[in-house]
Amino acid sequence: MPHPILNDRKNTIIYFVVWVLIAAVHTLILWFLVDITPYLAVADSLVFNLLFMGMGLSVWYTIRYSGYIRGLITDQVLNHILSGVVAIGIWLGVGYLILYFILSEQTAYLEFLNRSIPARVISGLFYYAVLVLIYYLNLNTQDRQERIRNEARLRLQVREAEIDRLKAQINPHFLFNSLNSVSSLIGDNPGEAREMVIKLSDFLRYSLEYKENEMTTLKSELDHIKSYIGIEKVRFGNRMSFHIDLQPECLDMRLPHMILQPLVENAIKHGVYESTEPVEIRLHAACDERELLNVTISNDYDARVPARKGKGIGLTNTMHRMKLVYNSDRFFSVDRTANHFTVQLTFPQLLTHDNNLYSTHY
Amino acid sequence: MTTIFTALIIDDEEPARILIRDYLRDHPQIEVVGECNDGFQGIKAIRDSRPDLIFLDVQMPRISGFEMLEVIDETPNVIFSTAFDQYAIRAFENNAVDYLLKPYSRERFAEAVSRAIQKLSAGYTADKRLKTLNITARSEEEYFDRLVVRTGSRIKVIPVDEIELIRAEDDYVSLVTAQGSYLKQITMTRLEQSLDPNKFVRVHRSCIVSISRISQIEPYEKDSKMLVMKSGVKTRISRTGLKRLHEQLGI
Repeated sequence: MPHPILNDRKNTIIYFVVWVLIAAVHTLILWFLVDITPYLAVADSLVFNLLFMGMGLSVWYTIRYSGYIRGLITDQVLNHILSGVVAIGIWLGVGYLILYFILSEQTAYLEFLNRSIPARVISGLFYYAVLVLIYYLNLNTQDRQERIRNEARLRLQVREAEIDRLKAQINPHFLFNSLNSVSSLIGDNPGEAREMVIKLSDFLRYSLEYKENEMTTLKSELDHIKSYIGIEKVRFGNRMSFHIDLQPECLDMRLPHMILQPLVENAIKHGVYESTEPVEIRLHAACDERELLNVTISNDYDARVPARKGKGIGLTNTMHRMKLVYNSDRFFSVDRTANHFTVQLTFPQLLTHDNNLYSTHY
Repeated sequence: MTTIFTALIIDDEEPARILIRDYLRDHPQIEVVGECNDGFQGIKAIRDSRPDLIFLDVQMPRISGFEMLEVIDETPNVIFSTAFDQYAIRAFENNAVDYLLKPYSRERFAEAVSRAIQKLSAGYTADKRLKTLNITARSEEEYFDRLVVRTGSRIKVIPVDEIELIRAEDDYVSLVTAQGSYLKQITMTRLEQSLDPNKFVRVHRSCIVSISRISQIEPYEKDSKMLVMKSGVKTRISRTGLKRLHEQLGI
């Protein structure tokens, strides 16, 4: 944290001016009330006030560091009284010695100097207390400003994360290419164009509904995937084929919302986008005794094409989510052979009767 | 009499090609001489039919539109037709005849085509910088994971993980892999910047090596060192190269 007086030109000037005023008052008091010659009054005032002005600047550091120690308030007060006493001791000692040496002939003045020590202790304590108070106020405002800045930064980060999440869900490349297909179909085959707009809307609606910790049924996940595949099918025609094979009794089993689509998207991205040959994507779902739902998604890929690393959003995200939801990494596995890629997921059904039960894992 | 210019459409999505053909009906001056699904077909068709103009998508299977431009001999004028992200496209806006962001309107398309006709009529040849788009339009934090080279009429895609070292050879670089070495027209500095610094380090003005394939460093003459690769190949290290190597390996 910057020094409130030294780091701000305006404050430095104010601080200096205030001390000049204090020194002037000090001189006048000595001259008129105590009846000390003007020369001696000025010397006395300059020595003591300049010293305090310098020392006062360093008091900030004791405040700054003790301010960070979140101790008992009494400890802090004690701390300040102690450092105040030490500071005033040094101040008086040094000032006294300087005047004692430079004015050693002025015996009357030196006598006064000795007598005036109690009064000086009191004024020193007063100055010290005022300074500490000012510094504390400043520390407080700086603290608050920083908190406000931090909060603003945090809010921004949260929003950025949210936008990233949305972007990850709806790949802009996919979206704009699909819209381009719609544009093409409107001239060529308006009926199909309309179908495509509807599929795209269903797809977007489901994607935008996505909440990280919500469960849904296999049926609604599959419906979502079907509209997604429907769109990609228009873009790629017979370059891709998609097969679902499942036991009908699995359809109302539960799994996290939007967990399957990114994997199918991944399969298309690495299979279809990168291959000139037709690519087959398969989704297989099986369940046993109503306790476990197993889903396998596989695709072939062109082994001649070096794997293009995506941003790894698809697989890594799914892996993290599976781990968060089921508190174990046993339920997600990936298998890659020369030209075949398979992802296997297992969804235990026990925990998931209550939609939000697993959110306690966060 | 108006000149007829030939054009090729290269896009892996059929609806996108249909759309371009449809829009082109308004422009009898452009004659479509072919359609291609991917960059490989594109390379062949450009060689065979030498079109004046190509409509080119960027993201396509096996090799991208940019990679395709890198390896063809004679570059036609190019109109990009792509959903490629806007920010990246700004970098190459000036090199192409035009770029169309999918989806685009008939009017926007007509604008691009008349600009192309203007350039073609004036006898403009394609901007040389088109050939380096693969590098210049690359986003900062993304590094190459493959390089496309041509040997004779064959196109080869080399994963960077298979590259052992890269040597400068005049205007070319030689990519050395276990299967052999391949020449590619690119400068060392450009290539160095496009490779992941965690995987590759430039040990000499004329040599970049794959970090994972380094075996050891040997002393050589009095002030210099020699790098020995796992394959037994040796290469000189310059003083700055040694410094970079130390930084990268954290030693």
